[in-house]
Amino acid sequence: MFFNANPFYQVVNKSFLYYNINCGDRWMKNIIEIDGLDFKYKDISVFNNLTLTIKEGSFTTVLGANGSGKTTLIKLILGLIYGNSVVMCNSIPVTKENFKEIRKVIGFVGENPEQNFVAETVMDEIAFSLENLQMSPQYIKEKVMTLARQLHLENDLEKEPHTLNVQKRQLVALASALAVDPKILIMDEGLNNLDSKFREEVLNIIKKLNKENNMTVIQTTDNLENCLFGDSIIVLDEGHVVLSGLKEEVLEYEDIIDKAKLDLPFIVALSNKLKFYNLIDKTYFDQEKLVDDLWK
Amino acid sequence: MLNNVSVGRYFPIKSNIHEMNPLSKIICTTIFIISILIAQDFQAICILTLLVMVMIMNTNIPLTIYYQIIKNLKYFFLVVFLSSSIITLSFSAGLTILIDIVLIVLYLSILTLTTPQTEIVYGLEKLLWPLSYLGVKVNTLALNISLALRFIPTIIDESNYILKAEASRGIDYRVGVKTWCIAVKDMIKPAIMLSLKHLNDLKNSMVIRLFSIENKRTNFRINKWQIFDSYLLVIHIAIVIVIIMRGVIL
Repeated sequence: MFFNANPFYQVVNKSFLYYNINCGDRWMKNIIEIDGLDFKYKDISVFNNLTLTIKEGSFTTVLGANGSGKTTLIKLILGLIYGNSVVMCNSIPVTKENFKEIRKVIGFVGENPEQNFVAETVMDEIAFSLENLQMSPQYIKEKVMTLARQLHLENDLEKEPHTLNVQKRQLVALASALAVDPKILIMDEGLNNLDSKFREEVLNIIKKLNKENNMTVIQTTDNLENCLFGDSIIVLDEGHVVLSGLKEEVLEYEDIIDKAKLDLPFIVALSNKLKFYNLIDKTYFDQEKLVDDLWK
Repeated sequence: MLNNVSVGRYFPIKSNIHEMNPLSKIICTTIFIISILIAQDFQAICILTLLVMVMIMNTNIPLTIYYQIIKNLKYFFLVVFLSSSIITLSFSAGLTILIDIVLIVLYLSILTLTTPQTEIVYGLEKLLWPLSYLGVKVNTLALNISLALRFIPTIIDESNYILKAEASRGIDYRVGVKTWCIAVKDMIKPAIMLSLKHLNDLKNSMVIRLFSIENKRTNFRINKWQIFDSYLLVIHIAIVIVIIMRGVIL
């Protein structure tokens, strides 16, 4: 876990100032490395000595309230903006010279996909990156059809992406990001517009890709319910990493999460209360399991 | 006020025109515009109107879409008609110019309704390719033209959004010309700002997805040149020759 020069957190968390959540050998390689990065936006300091790592094959949730620097962090990783030190992505420094190399391994879904649609039909939109990579028309058609089947977009391929409902638009953006078989999928609040049932379905698809293809997933959100699908969490507050590590361990620190102006997921908050009254002895992330164990 | 304008939007449906090669469509459009500029007399305009009608029938797109396009541009057409009538001091000359403009709008609508943006870029690149020998960056030019077409619906959407925001705060622009002018004046700046922001997002999105103006791209849905393309091209060339010959003979 990283604690930096933010005096507020040093005071609050003195007892575990150098506590390090052990990720073990579960993921070996760092796919994202940021070391001592400063970034200012029009004289306003966003990051001051930011240090963080994200492991290859992990499903990491970057949590933070509005204005905590989540989107700026994603822009730094994508190479849309540059700080004072180099961000390493897939062991390649994110610089203007390595632009293409970096983009080849990253799929990106933004918060407002309708602002990012380039093409006039869903099919063209999904094919856009593949066309830029000069793939063969046959391969592009097959890939688009596979993704459309996977994300239930078969009947919308010839429609204008702008005319679809919000959920379908998010799916088009996701399909477009997944088209290049990215090593890293970045979702900047990318699932916020989906309703909870559908979000779960989409997150399960992403989780499957994460496990089967060892695709690293980085999602940013201010909704802690989303982090239950991931395995590790980074909590940002006012440009500082205040917590970082495995989900099970980060969610133990309710006070720090509270100070970062975030709410614990309902099931975790409930577990913590039940634990306080000695009704259970561990934190639960799955409602069904909690009910089963209580019933026993 | 600006609802349902379909200029610049692709209308996905199966038709002969949709399946044409984009290059032939752009060449036909260029020939048609040249024909309109040359055509001076009533018979020539009738031939061109007939051609537009045949083309429209072949697109399989509901006629209401074309009606909407014309209806939404009614004030523009009124201004064109009045100004040309006043300048030429002739009612018939004004009417001829009005018909010419309506036909051009309809023909351009056929092109944009039946051709996705990526195909238009491809067609323009192929058409303007000789200019690359003169040092013109053809791919940049083609992209700029297609983005301009792509942005017409965006700007209209943004304008509608702002007009609705104004209306929700009590401005009723249907009351009178003065209120309408004020509403439109107040709309212009935020509409431009929103569109510029939109443009920046779009640029980022294209860059993230490996788009670079220097790079070559494949286009997975370019229709091959078919016999129908040749037929239509021959018809257009024949019409422009007939119009030129009529001009020479008469």
